Amino acid sequence: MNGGKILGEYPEHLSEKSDYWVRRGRLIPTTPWDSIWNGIAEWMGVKGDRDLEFVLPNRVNFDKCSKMFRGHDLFLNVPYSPCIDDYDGDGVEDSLDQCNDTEYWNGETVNSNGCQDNQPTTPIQAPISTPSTQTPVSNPTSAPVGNIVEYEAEYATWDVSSKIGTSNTGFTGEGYVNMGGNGSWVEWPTVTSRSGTCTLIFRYASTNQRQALITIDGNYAGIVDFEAAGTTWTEYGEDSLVVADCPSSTMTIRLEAITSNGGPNVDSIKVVFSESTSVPSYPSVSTSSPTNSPTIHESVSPTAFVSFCSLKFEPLKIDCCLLKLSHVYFFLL
Amino acid sequence: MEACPTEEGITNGGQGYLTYTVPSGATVDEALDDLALLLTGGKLSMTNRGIIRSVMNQYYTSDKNKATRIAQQLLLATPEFHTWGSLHFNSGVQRQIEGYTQPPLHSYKSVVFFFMGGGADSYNMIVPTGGCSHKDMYAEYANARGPLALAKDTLLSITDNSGKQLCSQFGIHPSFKTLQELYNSGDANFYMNVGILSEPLTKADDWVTRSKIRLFAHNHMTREQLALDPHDMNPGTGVGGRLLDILKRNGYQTSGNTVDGSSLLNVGDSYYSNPTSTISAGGISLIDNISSLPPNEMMNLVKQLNGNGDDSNSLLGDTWSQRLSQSLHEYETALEINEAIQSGVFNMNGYPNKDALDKQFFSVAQYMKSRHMRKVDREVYVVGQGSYDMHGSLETLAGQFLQANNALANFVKELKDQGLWEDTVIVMGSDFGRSISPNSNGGSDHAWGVSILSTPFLNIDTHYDIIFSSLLFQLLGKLLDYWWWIEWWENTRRVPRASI
Repeated sequence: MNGGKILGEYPEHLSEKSDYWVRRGRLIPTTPWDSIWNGIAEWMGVKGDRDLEFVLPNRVNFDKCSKMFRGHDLFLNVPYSPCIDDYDGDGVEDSLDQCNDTEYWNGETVNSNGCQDNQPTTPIQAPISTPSTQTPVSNPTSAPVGNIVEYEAEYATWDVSSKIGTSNTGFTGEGYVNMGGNGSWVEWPTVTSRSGTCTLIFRYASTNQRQALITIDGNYAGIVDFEAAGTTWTEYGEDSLVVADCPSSTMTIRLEAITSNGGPNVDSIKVVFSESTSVPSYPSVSTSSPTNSPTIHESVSPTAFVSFCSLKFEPLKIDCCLLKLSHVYFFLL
Repeated sequence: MEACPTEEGITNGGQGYLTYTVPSGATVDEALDDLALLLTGGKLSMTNRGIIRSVMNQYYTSDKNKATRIAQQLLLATPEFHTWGSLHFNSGVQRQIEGYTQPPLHSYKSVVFFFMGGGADSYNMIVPTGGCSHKDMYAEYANARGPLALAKDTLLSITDNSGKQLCSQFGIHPSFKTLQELYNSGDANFYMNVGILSEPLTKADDWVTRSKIRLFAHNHMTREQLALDPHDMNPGTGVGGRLLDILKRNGYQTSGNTVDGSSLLNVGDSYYSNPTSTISAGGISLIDNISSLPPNEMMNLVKQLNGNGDDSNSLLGDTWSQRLSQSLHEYETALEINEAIQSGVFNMNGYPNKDALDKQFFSVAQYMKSRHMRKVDREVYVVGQGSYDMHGSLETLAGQFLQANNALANFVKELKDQGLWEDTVIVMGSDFGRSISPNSNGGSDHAWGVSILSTPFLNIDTHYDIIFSSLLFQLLGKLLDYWWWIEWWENTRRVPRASI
């Protein structure tokens, strides 16, 4: 049992002899609150310095091995783990970790180099402090031309388990969305539409079948199978869905993984309208995400921007634009 | 005063009336032009104008004044009315805010933070009584506390199993029988001298400056404890909220809950939009039962008026719409849960529901019982007890501790009955500890490290933690605003009342 203990330190002296005694019988604490929450956070399912420092931003000011209670110190059902520097929480020490942005929560096995299957290696990262807010922006890559509009997935919105990827080449635009597990989703919030029949064509990559539910404005539109597009993740294919009653002006298209295989890597969506009337010009009300202006993308070259984000900040969905300073330093150095 | 029969709703509690009358012969558009100018400075977006106009049209011919009242109610629910800024673009499509739709993938765990407001005197919660390595700590305690010291033979004895304390024998305040039992069964730990620390400090340091926090003041110390971010790395967030942020990203289905209010503790980073909810110990008041339109109709229109916006919208306007939509969603969810509770689905027979603190813990236990309905697997709860600020004497301390003890005993028993005890950790904390030395009034003053703190801990088999933090000193007056988490609830009530 791990209960029945008195932790922290009862003062050695209840008098001015104490190093912590200030002003009429007040004692400077010797154990920070962070210590207790550190143990609780581990018990609840948080791992690694990156995530624990998000929960406890002041943890860095204490010796984590001697001052922070661990989950196993406080709870019997938390297995023992040694105190090591482990930025991404995968259990592999940073100095040995060739993939230091592992998503430990996806439950996949990590090898001795700290990498999961197919995970690109990344340089060791210094811990970053506090992530800020970010919501992906939605932005069409081009104004509609003729009867087709096309939107990149990387400018859409997606759930927290999905992320931008750039490592599997062959994508269009600046990357693709590497979807998470069952229930993960990608959503294009304001897609130009016209009433009548339209065909949704998804460009994607997958090495096995990854069925997904498609909804338009929250209503069921159909299931797309997303069969294996090839044997590697760099092979892209297309799958489509014909929708009989597309709305008249704009629509929100959502792709949601519905099997335990999760979702595919989604590169883009094309919408082809069957009628020949002219397509409305790109609407002035363009997106639904109340969020940052997309001009951030212009601050660095697109390639640098994307790789930088996916490499270092993506795991916590940090807004790269809000980290412009680090950004600049990064490139200067 | 009775409601005027020519108007809808109940207006006798109102501080104002919708008295605008339409000039004779005015068309719908002319009336709406007037109202939009008066209430939004002419900023009303075309989408919102269209939404309001279409409703007005339905009533205008038959009852011009009713149509105008409806328009005013709707205008008061727009971001254009509430915020100042540029033109607002609104798609008219309701923001999609939804709760969890799939059952959670993990077993349930929760943290209950029990806040003892006012600065609990934890030096009298746990006292060293014997087995000390080189001196008589009880004598030192008794000497330091003077008239505040508890007699050794009244204390409930426990033995330290960590081997890391100066003494092996401690005594718990006689009111806290439950803590003794939990400790002895391995279900609780105590933590000594815990507090908000910006970095390790001793009295030789410039601890005032380096602490980065306003020591010894109730409001500041409480806030710092709930935020647990003394360097303001993520301003406006609390430790429980950030914990749930990471868990939610990890695939858990989370909720941060506060009884009858809201707590900074549960505020997460705005990126993650972690769900928070208010658990109402006394029922939920309806916010849309007396407006000029049928209930659901008004609600839906308000959601449309605050629909998905545009990137170029002002931050204030979009934030207002987002918060309003979120509040309405939480309200509707709360109604659903409340309905289920009222129907008796989550009844807990035999729970001794006596005083206000009992009721809070009762509400938490009942809310936990609805976890499957809510589809959550990780939660943080906040409950609170006040009146620990005892500058005059410690005479009321035993009663306060006893109230806490009894409420905890009832709660723990209920959790054991529900099979949740092993999945729940209770953390007890306070603004700060109190001074060891008595003051001239026979009470104790604000201090810092709680001197002791206790936390039970729990372990697996129980996770119960009591912690006390305390830090320090100097009373800056009785800033009794440690219930400041009620702010949130107050804020949510600023949601426009459709029944103006």
